[in-house]
Amino acid sequence: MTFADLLVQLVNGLAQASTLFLLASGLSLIFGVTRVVNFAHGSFTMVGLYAAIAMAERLGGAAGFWLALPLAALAVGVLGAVAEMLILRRVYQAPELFQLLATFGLVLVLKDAALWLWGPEDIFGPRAPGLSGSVELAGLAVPAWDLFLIALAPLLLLALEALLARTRWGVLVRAATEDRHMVGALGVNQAWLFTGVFALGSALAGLAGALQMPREPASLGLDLVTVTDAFVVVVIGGLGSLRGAFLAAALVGVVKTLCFALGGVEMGGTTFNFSKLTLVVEFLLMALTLVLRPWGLAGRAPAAAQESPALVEWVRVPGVRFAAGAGAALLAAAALPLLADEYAVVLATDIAVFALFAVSLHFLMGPGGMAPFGHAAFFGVGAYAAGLLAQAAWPMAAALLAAPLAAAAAGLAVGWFCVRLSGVYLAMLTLAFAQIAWSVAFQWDDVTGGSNGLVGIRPAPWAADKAHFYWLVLVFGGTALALLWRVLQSPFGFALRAARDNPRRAQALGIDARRVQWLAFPAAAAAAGLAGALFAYSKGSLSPEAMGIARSVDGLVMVLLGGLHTLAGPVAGAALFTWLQDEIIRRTDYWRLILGAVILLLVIAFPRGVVGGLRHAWKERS
Amino acid sequence: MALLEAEQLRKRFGGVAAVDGVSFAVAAGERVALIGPNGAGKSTCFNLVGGQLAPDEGHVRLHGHEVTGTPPRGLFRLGVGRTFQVAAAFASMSVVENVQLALLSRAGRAFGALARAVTAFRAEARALLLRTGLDALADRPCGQLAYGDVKRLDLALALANQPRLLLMDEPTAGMAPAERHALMALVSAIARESGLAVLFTEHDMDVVFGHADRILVLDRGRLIAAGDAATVRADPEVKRLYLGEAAEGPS
Ligand SMILES: Nc1ncnc2c1ncn2[C@@H]1O[C@H](COP(=O)(O)OP(=O)(O)OP(=O)(O)O)[C@@H](O)[C@H]1O
Ligand SMILES: [Mg+2]
Repeated sequence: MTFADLLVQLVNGLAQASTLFLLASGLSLIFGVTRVVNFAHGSFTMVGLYAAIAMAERLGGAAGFWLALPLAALAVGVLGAVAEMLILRRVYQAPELFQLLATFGLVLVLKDAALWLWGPEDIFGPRAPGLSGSVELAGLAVPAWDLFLIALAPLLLLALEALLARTRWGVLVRAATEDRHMVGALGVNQAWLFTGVFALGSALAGLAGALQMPREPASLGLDLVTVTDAFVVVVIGGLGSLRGAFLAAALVGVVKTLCFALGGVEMGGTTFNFSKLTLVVEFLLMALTLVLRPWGLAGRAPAAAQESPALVEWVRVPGVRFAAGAGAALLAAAALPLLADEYAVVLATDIAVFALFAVSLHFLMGPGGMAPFGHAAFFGVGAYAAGLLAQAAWPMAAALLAAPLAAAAAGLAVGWFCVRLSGVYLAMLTLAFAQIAWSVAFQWDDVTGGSNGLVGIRPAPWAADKAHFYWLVLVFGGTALALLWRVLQSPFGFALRAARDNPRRAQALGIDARRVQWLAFPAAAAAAGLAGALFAYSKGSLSPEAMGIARSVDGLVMVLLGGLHTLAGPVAGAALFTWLQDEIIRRTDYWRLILGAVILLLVIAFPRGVVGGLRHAWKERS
Repeated sequence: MALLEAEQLRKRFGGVAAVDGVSFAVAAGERVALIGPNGAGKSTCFNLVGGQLAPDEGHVRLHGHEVTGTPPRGLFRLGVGRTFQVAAAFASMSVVENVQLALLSRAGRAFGALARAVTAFRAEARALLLRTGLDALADRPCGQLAYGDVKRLDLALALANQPRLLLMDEPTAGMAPAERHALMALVSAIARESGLAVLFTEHDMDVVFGHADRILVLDRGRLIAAGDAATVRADPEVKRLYLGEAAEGPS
């Protein structure tokens, strides 16, 4: 690589950084005032790009292109305001995990709306009239549009800072960012302030999307890619800080392109391919930031610890009756292959696998009181461990025992970092780790098979039959469930709940709350890893999707469907979810729309989960 | 040698010197009351001695051993029990389970992952509940208790450690007068029997004068008087500052 190449890459990196800043500034503004981490931010960007292309075409010509930019931003701003009034407003007081989930519901709805409006094919936009060529810079040809983007970011930073410093509205936004209660005390109409900020943040996201017209086609996958990038930048810069976002955007943009530009580098005899690091590196930066400086480069610790309503509720320790009921349910489930066809058995296998996954997640969320947003990482580590061992010709039984151990090791490492944080910061850190695991699976072709994944993960001959494999899942899964439930009844389980209910009291009783929470991670991870391993053998192949964000979200939805306060809840939630998903996908292409709607309904109407909610309603009545 | 010694403790919060050079000692079997108006720094003193906060300056010693900066769970192992001004136990457990967990922790078994917790130390837990007057509520969810009962449970949790030093921050707040004296009588009896050293704060002067062997008076982070009830009562500064307020009605 020559110096000139590097320079060209650097310009490209800065142009990316500029887009990242646009994204991150909106996300950061919204978080600063509403304390909601908006997963749908990337969806607004996606919609912005689709809308801009559609408008530019409709209007036509150079004027059409330039008009489409502000118009798309405006349209997305309005969309954001509507979303805030309909949905976000109802979750401001909810725990962080519910907020993340609600905004993820919005992601799903918007994705299917885009699918319906614009179809599944990528759509290419027009080039920028007047800026479509390249500019001679120190003897190099640099795309003019990139330079335009690079110039835009600092101007935008100045404009936003002026808005916040000079206008009355801006002063209110700053006040709300620093101390939410103060704004209420000033007698300001808080609701409109929040809507306004949300509209502005969304418009910035829309603009960021529209500005991509000459750079990349509009595609349905843009939303998650974009929002995870934006998360990374905002977390590194400091949630709520514009300047931090600016710095972090530059950092991430440049580091990513540098990795790409470095390519393969000879190091100690072996070639290390840096370009394989482009995905991992940003999440590594984010995890590093959260561990070393949880509030980011320029952020400040929140004035008062955020008070989210406690999820604490009395839990009766399950006794003989619960064990008997669970045993009976297991026996009934085991009878299924005698009564139903193979399709039902395969579906039931999926249900059993995801029930284990959901119970393991519930272990951290319910009794652990934590907000993990990347539980799929452990599922994926278990799945890939099993897949790799299967390829190395390990017997299945051995692989099924080793995979949970691998996941537990991952849990031990991830948990050590995570318990140092709480709330939304913990959620973000778990997400970062999950994305690191996903990127490794996605980019390490030699080992993981990259995006193609692993194939030929066949169960042992004695378990090859679908019914036999189903029974195997019941035995392994049932044992793991029984162990987890047993742990919850043990002193450790009590200590875990104590650390959640009242950490200060627990400490004064000699219980190391942080350590208890830390050790909950490997326990939950092992169970999730076993679920992943069973999943790998049941499907016969694996792709990085096994540990994508969507998998983590599925787990959260299952747990919330079942409710946080019951042990059987996650099992019921997993069954309901998996069955519904199967039924709906067979009937329509718009599964995500329905799932998104279900999530929104759940979070807003049934924060206790369906099972928990019904039980509560029953208790209230009687 | 005194069981607890605090020497020149200081703690600032921003511009506020919450505790400003406080020294005192508590002997085994002695009951010492720390009193003072709201915001005097009493809870901060407790947090410094109980390990919830580390002092900016000064020392805390137990049996002559330096324990400054030791975290609460370390002090628990050294025989310190404490209750909190705003008491809250473990809301997701029943009353008896709360105490069982405290007993499990004392036995070093809180990390056991396969034993059943509900059967552990059940008799001991019941006995403690009987002593603290919570026996009838043993199986109640802790989140449903009246505040006075939560206070009692908080004490039962502290006593589960069979502490040598008991720190009680406003132990009787939210109780009827008769209950207050019953609770303090229980603590006094344990102090007499087992040589438990007790440091407590209290806004109810009847409780203070009735159950403290010695009284320390704190104002704006400084000790302004110390001695037995008669001495403190007669102290002109205390009269002006504190008893004047109390005479108008207990806060
Ligand atoms: N964590 C904290 N951060 C900032 N200031 C604090 C903190 N804790 C206490 N303070 C301040 O320190 C001073 C002493 O508070 P402290 O709670 O120790 O008083 P107290 O004597 O226990 O009062 P009360 O009788 O109301 O319980 C007060 O001015 C209080 O505002
Ligand atoms: Mg106090």
